[in-house]
Amino acid sequence: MNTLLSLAGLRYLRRHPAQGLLATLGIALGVGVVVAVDLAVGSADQAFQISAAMMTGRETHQIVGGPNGLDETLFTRLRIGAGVRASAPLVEGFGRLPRFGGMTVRLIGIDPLSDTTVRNIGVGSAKTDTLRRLLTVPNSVLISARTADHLHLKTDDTLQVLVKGRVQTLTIATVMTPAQNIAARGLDEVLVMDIATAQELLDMQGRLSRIDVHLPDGAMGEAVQRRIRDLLPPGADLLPASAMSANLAQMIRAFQLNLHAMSLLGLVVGMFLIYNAMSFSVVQRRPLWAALRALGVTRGEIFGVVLEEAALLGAAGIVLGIALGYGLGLGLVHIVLRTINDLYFTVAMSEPPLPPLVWVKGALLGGLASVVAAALPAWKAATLPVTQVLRRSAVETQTRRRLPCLSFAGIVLLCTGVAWLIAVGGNLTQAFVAIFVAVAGYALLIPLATRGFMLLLHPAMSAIGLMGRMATRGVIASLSRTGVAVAALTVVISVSLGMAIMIDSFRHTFSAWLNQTLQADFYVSAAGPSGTPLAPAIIKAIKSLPEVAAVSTGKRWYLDGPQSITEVFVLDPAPASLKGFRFKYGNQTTLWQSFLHHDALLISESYATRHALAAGNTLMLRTERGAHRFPVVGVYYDYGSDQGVVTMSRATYEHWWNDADVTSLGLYLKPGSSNDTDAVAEKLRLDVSGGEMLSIRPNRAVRDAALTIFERTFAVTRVLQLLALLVAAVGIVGALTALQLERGRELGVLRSLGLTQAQLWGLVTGESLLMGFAAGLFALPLGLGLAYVLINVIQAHAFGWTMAMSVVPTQPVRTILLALVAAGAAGLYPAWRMARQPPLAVLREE
Amino acid sequence: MTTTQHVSVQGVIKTYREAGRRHQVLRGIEFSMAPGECVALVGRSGSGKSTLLHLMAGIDTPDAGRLIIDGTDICTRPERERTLFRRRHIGLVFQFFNLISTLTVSENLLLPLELCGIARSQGRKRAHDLLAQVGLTERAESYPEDLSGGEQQRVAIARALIHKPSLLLADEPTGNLDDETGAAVLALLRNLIREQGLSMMIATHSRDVAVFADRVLSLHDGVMHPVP
Repeated sequence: MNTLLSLAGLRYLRRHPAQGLLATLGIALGVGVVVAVDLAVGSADQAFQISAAMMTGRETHQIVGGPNGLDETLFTRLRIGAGVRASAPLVEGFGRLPRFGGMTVRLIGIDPLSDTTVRNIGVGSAKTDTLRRLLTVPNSVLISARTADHLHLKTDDTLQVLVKGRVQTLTIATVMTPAQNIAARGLDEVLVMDIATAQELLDMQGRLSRIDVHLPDGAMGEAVQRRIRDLLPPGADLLPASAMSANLAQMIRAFQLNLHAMSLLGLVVGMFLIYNAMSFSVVQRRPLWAALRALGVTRGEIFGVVLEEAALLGAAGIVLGIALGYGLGLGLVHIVLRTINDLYFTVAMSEPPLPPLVWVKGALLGGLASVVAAALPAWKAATLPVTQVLRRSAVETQTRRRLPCLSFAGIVLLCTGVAWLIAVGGNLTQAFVAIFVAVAGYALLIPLATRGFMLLLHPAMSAIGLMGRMATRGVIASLSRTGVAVAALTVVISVSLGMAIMIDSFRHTFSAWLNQTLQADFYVSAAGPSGTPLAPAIIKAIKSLPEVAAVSTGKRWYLDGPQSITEVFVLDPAPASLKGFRFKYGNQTTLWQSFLHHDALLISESYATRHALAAGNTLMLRTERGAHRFPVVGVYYDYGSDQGVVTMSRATYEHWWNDADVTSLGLYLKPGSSNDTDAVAEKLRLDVSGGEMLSIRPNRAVRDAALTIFERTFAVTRVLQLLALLVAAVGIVGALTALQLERGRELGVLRSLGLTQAQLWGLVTGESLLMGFAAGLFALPLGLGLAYVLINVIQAHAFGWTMAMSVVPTQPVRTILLALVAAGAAGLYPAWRMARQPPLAVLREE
Repeated sequence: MTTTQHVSVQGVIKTYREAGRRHQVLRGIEFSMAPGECVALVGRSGSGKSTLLHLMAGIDTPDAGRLIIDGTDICTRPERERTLFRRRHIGLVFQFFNLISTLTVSENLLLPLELCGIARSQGRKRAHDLLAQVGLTERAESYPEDLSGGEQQRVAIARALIHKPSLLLADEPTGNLDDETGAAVLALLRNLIREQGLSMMIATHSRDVAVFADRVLSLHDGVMHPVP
């Protein structure tokens, strides 16, 4: 690239820092959003993988059981009988630390002597004295140095943990400092103890959560597998370790994809900003390009100069964006991890890691976006006929001439996107790409629509007077700029509308479902992590309370399988519980009869979608009496889990699994008692608990807690939505400033003819509002379409939920108001700037 | 074309489409210029003077006809070759100066040399000499916006000559200057092209400007007429 030529371009940016800043900001915000989401999703992934990695040292397989885990004698038989030396038992559960805000900790019970053959939790490097203490001192635990620092604990300190409804006191035997960072992170928020201690704490005497084994490859490994399988009792299974991790990872895939799509939207909007800024700087320098072309500078060289500038701005934007992304990421990581903890599984909260791939991806996307967004203005600069350059209307003439082609391309893209969406089926990535294509097509139609809309408004605006007429004409006359600004605002407002309708519809559906599902007056469970069984004596005491009319019991557990993890809900319904189910099809009475008396299953809608099941099919489950095919008799609506739930009756469960545990109760009070729920709650707490800590929550509290989690789930979406709006607002400010600066001479002439500052301000603001009004109107059909697609394609396939689309009547008005506010606010600065400019200065500038 | 002809324009036609209607600006223009000849092109506004100069510079192409400069028919060349031809063989002076506002006076002068691949160090002396000839040595590091109109046009003339083109095309070079300054600029232009032995076509709507030319051509309704 020629030095003086580059200098001529770069000095322009130095003289007009606002334009450079705008483009840089566009890319920075776009890259920042992508990096932040990548960071959040990546750290969630890593947190999950670290947790998994800690448990998955060298093991190739896991032996898992049912709700009761495995009999511990299986380990002895496996090691001694079958000679599988590379095996280690594990007892696992969760507890809470009441003194640390109820923080959840993972409790791991290991056999220190056999553990090093398979895993690398870190005890292998522990001193003999530590191991002796772990084995001999009751309730002693190992804790990582990071966790100890975090909790301000040291060796020999005691720690209170709420497990199984009881507060237990543990002693820290030693603080471990694993050599490898990953092992250290894997032990965050983990308490490691001897297996016997864990069994006692978790009420799992004689039981194991699983046994990890390391099997050799090839024929020898297969032979060992056969030997192990011969030993396994019914209800136990030998599963590849990789499948277990994959099952967990698959649970959050759709959630992550949604986040990535939102972050890309930020980048696309950022591209609008660069396009705007570059386009403006190119248009403003038409005389420069003409002069250079007249001097013999080729089109290629001009193209290169503009791209060089864009690359420079892009580079600055990328650096800024990555820094911004990290800052945003810090906030998002916690929101995302909390959502995963709320909805999927427990992962330790940790600071975001710094994977180079995230930065590289952000930089590459930012660079690509800069070049792509600048390519069109660069091409325009290079190909604008030199003879026309000095004619001010040349660009607008060109835009008007290209309008039909642009609109035709828009229709083609829109139709392609819609057709693709119809044909795409369950492929979420393709569905998102199809949405982008359709939205891009719609955006290309906006300039034509803007022109048409302004022509339509022109008579009405003329009635206001000359200023009104000038405002509509002003928007039409500068369509190359106003069209882009209106398109950018339309896209962001419509996405915002689509997301708002989707979330509202979901909230509406979810709330209605909660109202139907939560039939009981009270819900009782053991305090602490979910899944803790309630003592039979407490259940008996509650059932015998005079205020209680009926009690439903429930138990929720997870069955590991080679393909997926199945959430099983065991229900012994009270008569009123039945009203809590709404079935997709079938006769409710017949369904309940089959469910209660014929070993039949009910499955949730999302489970049915994920596993392609329907009523009349059968579902194979591993029971303690061997694998059994259960008939599926009904599919019910459920919005509690996107992975789906299999519901079986208590009778069926106890027949196939030897387990009478109950983890939750639904209490239906007698008509007179239901008026004084506080008194009943107090009675439950004081008279019934018998020293065990119980979670007693009235219907309303459960409902509110569920809705709180719902709102938290969409917190990330809202943050990203706001960022996209912010990017768009910056874009509109840029577009309007550019527009007004371009028209500086015209406005200067108006001022010299006697237009007051207020009138000029009114004219410029009026144009901004007209553009906002147009964008708001155009956003309505696109927003409604997007909402339809998000609800019926994306969410339906991602989570398998049926949602009724509900549009609040005020939503369209709110959308137009939002567009007006965004455009009006964006128009304030250019209006102020142009109004206070002395007319002579503007004329002289020209 | 004979060997004594530097420029030969043969049957050039140019039509523009304006508001959906075809408007023929040049209707079969024919003329030639000898090496070192100075031709003034007069005519009213909109008569096609600028169009003809743009065609001769290769900025635009005619609908029909030939434009041969230094033995090259520039109409038959693709856009890139026309640009490179202009870069090496033609100097342009405009009514509105068209200096590069982001480059200093000396950088403006050095730009055509750099485009021709001449190192900046080599070009500095020539730039300095030319600036001395136009009387602006002390303004070498100023930006165009700091100069008066007359000074800007003198820089533009120096820039048009720095790469030693064979043909100088000047489009209303005094149109934006007061009479006194305009006269000074014209005198400078005349002296420099005579000194360098360049051919020049100068478009103007003022017959006064045409006084010093070797020959005056008039463009009226798209047709060229010699002025006695």
